[in-house]
Amino acid sequence: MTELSRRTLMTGVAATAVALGTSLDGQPARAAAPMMGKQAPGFYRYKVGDFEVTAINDGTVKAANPASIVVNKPFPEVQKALGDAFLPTDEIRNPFTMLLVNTGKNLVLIDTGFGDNGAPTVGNLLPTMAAAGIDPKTIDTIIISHFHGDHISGLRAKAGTANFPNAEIMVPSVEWKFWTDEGELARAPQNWKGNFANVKRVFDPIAKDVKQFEYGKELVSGITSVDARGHSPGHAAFVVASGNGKLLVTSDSANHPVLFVRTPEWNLWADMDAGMAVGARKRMLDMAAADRMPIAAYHLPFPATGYIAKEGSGYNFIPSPWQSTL
Amino acid sequence: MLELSRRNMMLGASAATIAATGYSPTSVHAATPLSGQQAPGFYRYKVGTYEITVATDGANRFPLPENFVVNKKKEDVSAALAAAYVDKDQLTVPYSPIVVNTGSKLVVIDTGTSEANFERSKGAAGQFQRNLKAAGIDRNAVDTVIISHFHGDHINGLLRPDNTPAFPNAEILVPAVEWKFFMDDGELSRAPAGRMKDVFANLRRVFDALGRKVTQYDWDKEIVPGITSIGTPGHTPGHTSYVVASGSSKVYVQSDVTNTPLLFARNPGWHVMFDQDAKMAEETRRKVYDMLVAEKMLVQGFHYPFPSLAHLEKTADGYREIPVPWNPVI
Repeated sequence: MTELSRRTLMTGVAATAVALGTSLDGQPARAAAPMMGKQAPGFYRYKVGDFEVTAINDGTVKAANPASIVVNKPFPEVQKALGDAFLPTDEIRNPFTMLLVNTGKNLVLIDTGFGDNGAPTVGNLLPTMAAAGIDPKTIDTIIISHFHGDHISGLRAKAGTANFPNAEIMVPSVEWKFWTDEGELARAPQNWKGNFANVKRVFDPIAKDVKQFEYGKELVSGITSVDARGHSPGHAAFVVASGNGKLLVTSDSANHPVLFVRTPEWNLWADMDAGMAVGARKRMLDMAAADRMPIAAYHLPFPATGYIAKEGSGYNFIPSPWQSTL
Repeated sequence: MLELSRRNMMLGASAATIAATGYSPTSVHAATPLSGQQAPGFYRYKVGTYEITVATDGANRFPLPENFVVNKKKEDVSAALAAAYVDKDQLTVPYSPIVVNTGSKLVVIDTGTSEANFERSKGAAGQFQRNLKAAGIDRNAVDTVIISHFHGDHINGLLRPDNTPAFPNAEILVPAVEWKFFMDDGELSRAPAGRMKDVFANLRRVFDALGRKVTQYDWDKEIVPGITSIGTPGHTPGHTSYVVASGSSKVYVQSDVTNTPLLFARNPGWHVMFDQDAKMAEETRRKVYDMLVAEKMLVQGFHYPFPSLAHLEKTADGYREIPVPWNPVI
């Protein structure tokens, strides 16, 4: 360092600063910068034709028992798949990303996360919406893909209040029929009873106002429901279409991309009809691959959008590169 | 439509809907205006006790030039882009500098295209300082700026639009080999006209504005505690990568060992138009990527899609980057 020696200068400054209590430019003597300790807000925007889509992450949950996630494969095979994708092999983390679609006319939220009803690692939807400048009162439509807790709990706070007070709520009619049927509740295996109770908690106060929809219908202008039954009795996917833009919202047709996109025959513990779920999964993935149609899926890593490529006997998820401008 | 018929669904849905459902999409609410704004482009992760913040500068998007890959035909490059599910006629080259907080030092590695470029590019690039601010990082608190090489997208952000230092309290560290080459007037006089002369002129503009007050560093040295310089020449004579290590964790900061991985990780034999010594750059690339694969090492790539953090797997033709899943907590 032949030029001005900064070390020397800084040493001099520090000495002076100690003497004067401040540095020469009047600033307090510099301490080490604190760690920020916080992730960036989990929202991301992209266009589908003229529509503006905002993907919002609700958080992640670590599976309590990772060995039971794939029910028809021994865990070591699952661990190999995870390891090959550079993921930890001793844990499975499930992210939750919902979509807010601004069609120019309607502001539509597809699925709602946990709200304050889940683990401490979830419930980011509302704070992240605040960070993104979105007022939950302006949402006029909520479309629900199915009635599992991670998709509906966020409709209603633990205290009982509605999180989206001005929204019309639209649900698959088959799903509604199943989860509100006392006979189904009586017949349900023990591990699904809690979900029936949560459906009651969320929907009972608004039962008469909920709009039920069929498959293959345009729910709001540009958003069409698709039959994707299997994961749950009335599970729905969606196509968001505007101009030349199209997005296939696969909901939970394929859950973890490394496990169920790569090998669609693997059965997820939460697939209520495993055979039908595999069928729906393959139809969705095949449609996305054949048409090179971008997808968004609830359990992909945030921002949870990309393409599906046919690879070998399964598929591969290709995340869309982050765009820094819209 | 009980069975899913893809074609029918697409064509028929729209018309069928309103009649069948009865709820036409009339809105009683006032429409919410489109935001038009992307989320702030920063992302954090830990390496041992260190906190790394990736803060993107944005991206340059331009029609695919004839000779972007100098040893391949444009059609082949287009085909590779299509195979990666991006626009086959457009290139998007993102820039993502990082900030490493070691606990005692706040270190910026590379600086993006400059705040002045924000206006010029209509906001597409020159975002680094904005994203730093969004990330809560004070430019005045930066102790050290490390420069990997002297191309404009790495050094222009050293200056504010009024040519004063963008990081006023930072020591600027530059590779000694790079400094020697580009500050040599003989090399300048021998540089071919066109892009190379422009590179020389730009870097001298930047460093002259800083009074040439820089500290030169050598390769294979721990230049800041926990950050080691690795010579990866070819892209430029003094091009440098880094290993950032804390405890048992580390990340390889590759700088421009590849430009966009969609083309140059997948095809390491392809030569981007910006490689000064293409043959050496390719040798470096293969050596570094074989090491990354063998060590299963995390790589931070300046021109990788934000947040520019991935692992690499070997493929038949080269390598494929596997982005690290976004972690909502750090």
